Amino acid sequence: MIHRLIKKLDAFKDSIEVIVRDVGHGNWNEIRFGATRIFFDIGAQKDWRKSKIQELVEAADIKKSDNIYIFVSHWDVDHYHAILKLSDSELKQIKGFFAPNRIPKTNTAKRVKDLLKIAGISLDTIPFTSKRCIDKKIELNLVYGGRSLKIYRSSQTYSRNLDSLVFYLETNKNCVLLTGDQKYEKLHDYVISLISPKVPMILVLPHHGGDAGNFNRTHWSAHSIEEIIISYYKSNSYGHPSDANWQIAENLLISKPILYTNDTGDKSFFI
Amino acid sequence: MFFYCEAKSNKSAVLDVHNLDDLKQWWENLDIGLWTSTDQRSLIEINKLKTVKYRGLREGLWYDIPDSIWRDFSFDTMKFSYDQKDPSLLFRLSATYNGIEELDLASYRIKNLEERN
Repeated sequence: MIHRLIKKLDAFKDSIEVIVRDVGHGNWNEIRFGATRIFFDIGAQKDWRKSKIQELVEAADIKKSDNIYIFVSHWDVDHYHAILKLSDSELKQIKGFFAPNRIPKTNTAKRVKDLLKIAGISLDTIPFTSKRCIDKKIELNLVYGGRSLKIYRSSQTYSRNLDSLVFYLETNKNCVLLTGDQKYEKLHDYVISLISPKVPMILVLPHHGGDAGNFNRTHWSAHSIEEIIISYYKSNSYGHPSDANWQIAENLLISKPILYTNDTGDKSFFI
Repeated sequence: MFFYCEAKSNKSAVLDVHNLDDLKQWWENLDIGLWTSTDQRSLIEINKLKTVKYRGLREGLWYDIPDSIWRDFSFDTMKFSYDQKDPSLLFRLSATYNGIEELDLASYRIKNLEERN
């Protein structure tokens, strides 16, 4: 199913819309082309109440003609919270649900699995990748790749944030890196440095701009970065985004401000 | 009772549980309050946590925390009450540590409960 989805995206001739939804301290990104909508995460701030999550779902405006594919970057609730508020008719629009294979046996993860099962949606898990190098580094390896969309999966790790999926999307105009809570050095070493994008990058900072390894300015300044977006909400107890990461991001953009959600609305790009 | 650390910051944490049967048993053991069987939520907000340096909770790990540890916590069942007009979809309980001692929660770490498909 994923191969078909990637082929469909490759065959699409118009602009592709990429949306970073304003979901509080969580992540919900979207790649939209025609009636096909790929959600990379469907999260929302953990402590937001039912009505707020309902508003987010309504804002996503899921129509009967939509074909929705959901990829959960990793099994943290702020990356899948909003699926719990999809109506039966909205759930019917989901054509595929994909996630890393190591699922915590928590009650909340089980609620999602039960919801999918009742709606007749299969949960397709993407297993750890085999390591390519003989060292102890956690790798991020390509598992599905077309001309436009490349999907990466980590090698085995017990770190919840690193145990994830990463999306790299590219058109003739821009490339986009959707990162979940992955580490900067993995994103750079296993994705960006290997691809060497020829078009300006739109980068969604990992982990809400908070701690995510070494955000090395020298590494990232070797690439043309057009936009940096941080998906966060200021009243969080985690200190996200960090001042250091914010500063590096500002330096990378030079003459443009960083974009952020933080109750300022969705950020949308046509690439 | 097994708890999963969903998130943590300096003095707070978010815990989940393996299943609602376990949570109900724990809830009753500690006499937390009325149990609502139709409520599917299971996240527990932990506040004012004091832990020994480097011996706190880590995100993504499981712990078998004995009931005796919870005797030094107070529980607020109203904050996330299921009967509220606008309840949380995830949180069920708020717990606050009132003890003086720093807790060695890392000592309760157990093998992760997880499925690999």
